[in-house]
Order: sequence, then C-alpha cells, then structure tokens
Amino acid sequence: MKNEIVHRVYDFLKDYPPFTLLTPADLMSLSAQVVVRFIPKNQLLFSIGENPGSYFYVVHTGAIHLSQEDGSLVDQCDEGDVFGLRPLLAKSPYLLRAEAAENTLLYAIPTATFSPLLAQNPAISTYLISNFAAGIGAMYHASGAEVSDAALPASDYLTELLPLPTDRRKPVTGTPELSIRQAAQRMAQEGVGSLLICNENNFPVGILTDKDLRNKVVGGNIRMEQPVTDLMSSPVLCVREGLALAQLQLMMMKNKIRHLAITQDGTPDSAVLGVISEHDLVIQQTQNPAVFSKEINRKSSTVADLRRIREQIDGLMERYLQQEVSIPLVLEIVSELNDQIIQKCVTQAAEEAGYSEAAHGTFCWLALGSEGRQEQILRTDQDSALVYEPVEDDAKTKEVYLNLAKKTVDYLHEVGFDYCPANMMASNSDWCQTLTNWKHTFRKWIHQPGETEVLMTTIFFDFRAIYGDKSLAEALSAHIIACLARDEVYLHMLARNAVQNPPPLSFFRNFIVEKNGDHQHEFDIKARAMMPLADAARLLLLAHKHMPPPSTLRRFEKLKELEPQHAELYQLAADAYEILVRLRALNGQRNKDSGRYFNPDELDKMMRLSLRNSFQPIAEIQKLIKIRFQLTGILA
Amino acid sequence: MMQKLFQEVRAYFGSSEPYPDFYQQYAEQDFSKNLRLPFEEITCTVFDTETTGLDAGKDKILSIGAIQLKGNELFVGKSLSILVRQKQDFKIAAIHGIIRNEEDGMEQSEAIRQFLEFIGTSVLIGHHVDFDIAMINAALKGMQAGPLKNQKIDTAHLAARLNSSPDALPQAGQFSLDVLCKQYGLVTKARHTADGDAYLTAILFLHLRHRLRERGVHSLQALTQKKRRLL
Repeated sequence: MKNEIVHRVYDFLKDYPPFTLLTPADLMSLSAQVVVRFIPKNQLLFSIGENPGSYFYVVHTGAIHLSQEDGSLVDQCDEGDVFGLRPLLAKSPYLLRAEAAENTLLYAIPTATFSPLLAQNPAISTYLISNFAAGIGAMYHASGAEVSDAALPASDYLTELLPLPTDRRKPVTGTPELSIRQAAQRMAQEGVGSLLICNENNFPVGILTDKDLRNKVVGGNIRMEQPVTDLMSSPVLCVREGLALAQLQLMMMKNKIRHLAITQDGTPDSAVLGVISEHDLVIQQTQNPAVFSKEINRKSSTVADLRRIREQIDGLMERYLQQEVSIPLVLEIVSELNDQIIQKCVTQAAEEAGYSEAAHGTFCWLALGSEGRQEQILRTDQDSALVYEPVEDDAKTKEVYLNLAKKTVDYLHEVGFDYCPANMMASNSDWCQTLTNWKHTFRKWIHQPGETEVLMTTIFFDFRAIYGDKSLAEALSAHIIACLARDEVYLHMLARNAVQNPPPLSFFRNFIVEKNGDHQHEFDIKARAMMPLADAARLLLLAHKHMPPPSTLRRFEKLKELEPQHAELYQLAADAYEILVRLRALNGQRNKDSGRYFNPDELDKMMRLSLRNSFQPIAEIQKLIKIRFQLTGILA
Repeated sequence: MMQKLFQEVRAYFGSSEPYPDFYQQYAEQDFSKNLRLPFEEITCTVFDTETTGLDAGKDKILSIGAIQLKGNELFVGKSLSILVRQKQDFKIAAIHGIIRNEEDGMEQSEAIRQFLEFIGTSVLIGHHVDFDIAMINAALKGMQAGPLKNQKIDTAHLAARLNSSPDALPQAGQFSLDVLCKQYGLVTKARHTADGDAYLTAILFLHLRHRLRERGVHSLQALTQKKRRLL
C-alpha cells in the first residue's frame, strides 16, 4: 500500500530545488528517510562553530533566522528554503546560528542518503555550487536589520565563480629533512595551519597539517623525532592558478581534504606558488546567484520583484563576462534563473486561470528557440509553447490553458521579456495544443515540409520543458524521432536551410555586411555565424535520429561521441560557438541591445581575430553537410 | 520458562486457552521503563485506524497508519501503512471514497501482528486514542490474545486541557482533528486515510506538547492524565 506519510513529504519536497532535480524514484526514497522536527519559537537549532550532525534542513512551515555572532540577521528561511547543507558537504562547522523565529516544522534530510544522489546527478552539483553562499550566509549586513536584497551593491554579486585572487602571501614551506618537531615549531612560528614540504626544486612532495599533528602525534602513534615524511600526507593535490572558488571547494569536498597547493602548471611536478585552505575559500565567499534564485522563489515575490531581479541578473551577467567566466557555466546559470522566473509566472498564472490537474489534466510549458537551447545571456523576446493532455478535450479546457498561457506571457512581458513579434508564444491558440495535436503538427512538418515548415522546425524542435509534466515533452521528442524514421525529404530540406548562409570569405574590413534595411553596413553575427552553427548541430543530430540536447555546445559534444572521426571539427565548431556567444553578449551589453549587429569599424583587433577564427569551422561543417546530404547538385 | 509460567498462572485464573506466542512476546516486554525516563527519551507511536464504523464491538479495521515520534522528532523512515483485508462493503466506499478490491491488503491477524511488533513498548498517541485502542483490542480478542498494554496519550484530551476557559463545557466537534488542525494552521488534505491522519495527529501533538510544556507540563504522567484541570 502506498505510504501516505512518505508521499506527503515527497509532495512537499518535489516543488523545491534541489529536490526538483531528483528523479521521482530517488526523491521518494529520500522522502522515506526524512525526520520531521518541531522547533519552538526562539529555540536554537545550531550555533556558530558547532559541527553539523548528519542532517540538513528544509523549512516546512514557520521560519528560521540565520544570524551572525554579533546577532545581525543574515537571512530568513521560509517554506521550502534549504539551509545547513554546505557545512555538511564541506565537513566544516556552521558559520551562522540558526534559530526559530516562530514555531517551525523542519524536514531534516539525511546527508548519507542525499550525497550519493549528488554524485550521480551533475545538475544538482551545479545547483549547489551556485547556491553555496546561501548556506554560509554571505550577505553580511552590519545593520542587523531585515535583509533587503535590493540594497546589495551589484558589484558584490558572485565571487563564487570568480578566480581566487592570487596576491596571497608566500606559502610556508619546509624540507623533507625536518623532524616532526621542527616542522611543528615552524608552523607555530609562522602561525599557519599547514606546512608544505617541498623538495630542492620547490616541488611539493607532501603537506603537514594541524590535524595530522593532533590526530597522530598527540594520539601517541608517532614520535616527534621521526622525520616529517612519516607524518605528512602525500601526494599533495595540486591545482593551477585562477580556478574559480566553486571549483576549488568542490575539489576539496570530493577528495575530503582541506588544503590544495597551487603550482605553476597545476601538477606536483612544478614549483609551488601558494596554498589554499578551506578557510580561505570561506572568507572569499560572498554572494552568488542563489540570492536571486531564492528571491524568485519566495512566496511573496511579485512581478515587480521579478522585474527587479531580472535586471540584477543582467548586471551579474555583465560581471561574469568581464571576468571571463566560462560560457557554458554562464549559460547554465542564466537559463536556470530564467527558468525559475518562468516557473514562478506559470505557477501564478495557473492558479489565477483556475487550472486544476484533476479537471484539466497535465500540461508542460515549453521554451522554444534560443531559450529552449539555453543560449540566452541577454534578454530576447519570448518563444514558448504549451502542450497538454486533457481529461476532457473540450473548448472549456482549451480556454483554461489559453488563459493560463496569456497570463503567463503577460507576466513575462512585465518582467521584461518582450512579446514575440511573430507571436510564437503559448498564448497563441496555434501553439497551445493537446499532445495529440502537437504530434499531428510535427508529423505534418516532417512529412510534408515546405520552406515555412522547415523554418518552424528550426524553432520548435529546440523545445525544452520548463514547467509541468515533462513526460509530455518526452513524448514529443520520441514522436519526432519516430517520424524521422520514415522521412525522405525533410532532412534534405533542413540541410539546405542549414547551408544557405555561408560564412564571410574575407576578414577585416571585408566582412559581409547587410546591404539593406536598418542595419546596412553592419555585420549580423546571428545570421552569419551563430545560426549556421546552431542549424548544423541540430541537423546532424536529427540525422542520427537523436533528439538534440539543449544547447548547441552540448550538441557538438554529442556529435563528437557519435562521429569520433570528426571530433576535431566539432570541437572547433563548439569553440567557435562559445566565442560567438561571448562576443554577441559583450556587444549587446555595450550597445544596450540584442548584440546581434556589429559595426565592423568598432571591432578591436582581438575581436576581429576571434570572429575570423570562428568562420573556418563554419565553412568546414557546411562542406561536410553538403557532401553528406548530397546538396552540391541542388545548390549549384 | 517465563512464558510457560505466565501461561500457567493465567490458566489458573480461569482462562482456558493460552495466549498465542506473538502476544506473549509482546506482553512480556517492560512497559514500565517509560515511566522512569524523561519524555524526550521516550519512543512514542502516533497511530490511527480507519474503520467501518464507530462500534468497536461490531465494526472492522480497514487500515492502520502509524509513525514513530521521539522528543520533537517524527521519523518518516519508521512509519507504518497497512491496508487490512475485509469483506467489501458498499457503505464503506461511500463514506471514505476508497474503492478497493476484496483481495487488497493483508489478513487482519497479520496486520495486528505487524502493528504490535511496530509499536513495541512505545507510548501510543492518537486522536480519541481510546477508540483506536478498543478497535485493536477487539481484533486481538478475536485472535485469543489479550489487550494492548502500552501507555497512551490522547491528543483530544491535551487539546481540551489547553482550552482557555476550562469551565466552559466543550462544544460538539470543538476538539475534532479538523478543527484543531485549522487552529494550529496545519494543512488537512487527504484526510480519512489512517496513515495521513496519524501523520497529522503527530504534528498536532508536537504543537500541543509545546504549548503544554510552556505551561509546565513535562512528564509522561502529566501528559497521560485524563482529567481536565486548571493549568
């Protein structure tokens, strides 16, 4: 018999990240291990410096205040907020005190059950990396007043992903000849918690930490006169300079260590530049996207709040780009935040539209086009669709879904995502359909393709489930692949479409610039460089009868797997695409527009070179497509 | 040895049949140890039964739900959800909205065995717990076994004790689970499943006990007290 108690826990957790990222089966087994804990108002849950037990917490009802030593409030955790996870994973003491602000019911989640899920699911790791600061409470507010996120200076956002500053003090090192006593004395003199043992070339051969001394020497298993090499840990885990904080913290967590050596080339076979301890990382950590995520998901968030948050996200993206944070990571974070905004809007709209699963069945909100591909650093207009599986396929049900979609689209517009000029939005009756109708439409597009149909598929086949019943989206994917099995012309048409924009042949001043319209004499990076690559990746995967994963970068990864003989070309194409995404985003930030059009005269040398380099793989990949789909004749 | 002696003593005092083994084992446990422990250290079981009616003499148990509680914690991992196989009765389905097949669930005797194993010597907590205990006892009797020996706490009594004007006569339904849950801001969806109600009762108990503690009620004895009195 289904255990209603476990199901209740499950039903609650499934709506909140990171649990949203678990499979239902995993979440169910996690739910079965939850401990429900009642904390009366004003009672302390944990205090600063205390070691975490084996649980982290989700607020079910009530509120928990996280505060600093001086009593200043860092954060209030309400329904669905997760806290206390970072100290557990990092095996370090709590940095904040947690106290119930009212009578509170918590779900205590056992880390022992959660950790293996974390290891299996990279999406959760990514989520947690981008959320760590929330757990340690990075928002230091001297005032002690209620934290107002709006008041935070934008420049504070996100140190998590920035490289750790390198102006650290010189590492304290010792030679392997030292005795343990001498090594300990040196540590005491220098006031450090660890001593790097280096050979004559200054390569790290081992590390001695406070903990080693405490555990082994004081424990009596080893004498102080023995050589330090008897006690030190070896080899030392080394990294190169300039890694992001989150990466470093993840490495420590994974290897269950608290120190990393920075060496010249990131291996133990080069000279030591410094040491990073877990403590250093904690000091560095301030703010990150978690703040936004939290704000978005706050029950009380209004559309105006979302608008403000979305503007702040733009600021965050600007900083990321300036700091050259890796593009895949930037894309992942921004699309996650955008998704959460959409989810929030859909939830709100569903409620207002009078939607209920029992009466109207399940539905899935789909993002299309570049949003579907998770490739929107800058805000562009909305592209969406809605697929539903009605209980009763009648006009009334459709009315509810259309209403839901209209409200959602309007909310998103208020948040700052412009309406799609071509009306490719779920609020358009054509794009708000039952699963059966969608299947029918897709079948028609594939089996009776005209130019319009092919163009439609380049937008619609990039759909991605954002909210609701993901199985509907999966059913659509399966349907596309099934239709392709009986395809004769569609892929050829798609191929023709993919090569219709050849890359510019020459560089520097001789960019192909637009000859007509508003953007005369400007270079269209989207049409001339990005779309050809995105189209190629989509086409090649569909031809493999593979539903393309979101993001062109990941599609090229997949292609490398499927066609190892072309791995190099696909890697070049992916690299080119990454550069193009960055250039476009930077251009857009500079001109406060979509970044699509460049004035070639305004490009600096670096950019021009980057652009030029990206054209080569486009030409190559188009050649490959022409041969593979035997297009040469058609195009000649 | 002990068991044998126990049976002999019982036989002497007039019972014809010895108790079945499972009950014997249950009954021999030390139920008094709870009285020597602070409440925080006592294991409790919050439980609820869903039945065909309100007459413990005639009606049948349809399902049993339970969850373990200790101090301020509920252990979802230690919860019980048993569907009891009973002859199909149209009226039941009408009341509870549960449609099930006659062969669903387990035999009542097996259900009772599992329940006894689950509760051990824990303190039983329930809303109008006397009724649920009476239902279990009736089932035990049908298995030629003795009654439950656990201490018990009734959340309806606790709520009555917390009532701000103890002199006022309680009104009908004043301490019903629904009303109390509303009073304490608990969500009451999916009522009328035994395990769902057990869970709800458990959370209600946590709230009630907090209120009672604020008024100086700490021990198990104080909690099990039935009488309403000025606090």
